[in-house]
Amino acid sequence: MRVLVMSCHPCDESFTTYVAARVVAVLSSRHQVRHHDLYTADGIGLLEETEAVVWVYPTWWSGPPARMLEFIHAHFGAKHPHLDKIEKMVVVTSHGSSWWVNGFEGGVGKRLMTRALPTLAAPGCRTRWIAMYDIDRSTERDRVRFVARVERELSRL
Amino acid sequence: MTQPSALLVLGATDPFHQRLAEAATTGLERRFTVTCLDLVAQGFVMAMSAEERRAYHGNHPILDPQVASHARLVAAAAALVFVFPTRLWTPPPLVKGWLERVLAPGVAFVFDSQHRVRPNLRTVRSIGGITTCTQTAAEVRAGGDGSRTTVLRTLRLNVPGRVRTAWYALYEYEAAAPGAKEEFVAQVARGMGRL
Repeated sequence: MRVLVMSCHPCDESFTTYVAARVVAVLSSRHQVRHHDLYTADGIGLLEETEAVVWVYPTWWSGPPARMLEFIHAHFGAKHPHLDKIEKMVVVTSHGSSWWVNGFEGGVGKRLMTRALPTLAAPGCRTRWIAMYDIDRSTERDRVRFVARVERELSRL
Repeated sequence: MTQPSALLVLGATDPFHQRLAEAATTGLERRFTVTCLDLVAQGFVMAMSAEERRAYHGNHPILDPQVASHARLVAAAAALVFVFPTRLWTPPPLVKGWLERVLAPGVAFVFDSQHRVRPNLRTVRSIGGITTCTQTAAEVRAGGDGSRTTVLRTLRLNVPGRVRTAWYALYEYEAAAPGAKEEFVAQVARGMGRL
């Protein structure tokens, strides 16, 4: 599959940047992969020829960072001719707060990314939500385990 | 006696949303001294920088003087009111970026000794949102109603006490008759007068 890995984090040393690199490494053995971080790329034309999108970002204020939201608004707002080729969306995200706090907040990001956006992609577009909660209080072991889960799930894409 | 202050955050440039902001201001002025932050006119930068992100968990997370001035207004506000269009179920990226950069640790929330988030909007008693949606109410709800949830739940969680909330949404905005738009403007002015 032609896969676009779309990450969004300002810092090279971030967990998000590390996870995005692992995602690319895992997918590259079986798929045609392009990777862009929205802090360095403007995203124009990236959705062309894309069959799967893997979004990698930290959840801030219940959703993707402003710069990723900007990309989503720019490319999913009008009926973009390339969206109906997208058959699969995977979200890999980290939350500062715990699972139950995000539940109370309404899981805005989760519903946006796994239910709302796919309605604009190919009919029957499948989604996968891979999230780490409470990262601000996590241990290194928690993070290593999360990365292993991301690698395992994406190796089956 | 000085009136409590209301902060109105505007995330749009078109005439209709400008009118909604004016109507909200008129209503709020019955009880508040209103400051309007027109994010587009002020040239607010939406994306958190690498330096800001690195400073986020430190003692001085705010680096930009404009962000600092907005944070001071938030820290003194009795009411926070947002006016913006909802597109793709969500607030404009500029408004989202404002929340990310201005409502930093020490402003909207603090971390306790176990690094759990604790609410810190101690002066806020009212939160309001005014938006227009291109979709129907059912479609907006099905997609998670991100605008409303972000303002009335995520933001609201940062207020330690009781909060009065109000949400005004005009659905199917692009197809709305002029009369319906006028009625919405009047409704916003009345509603903000009671906030």
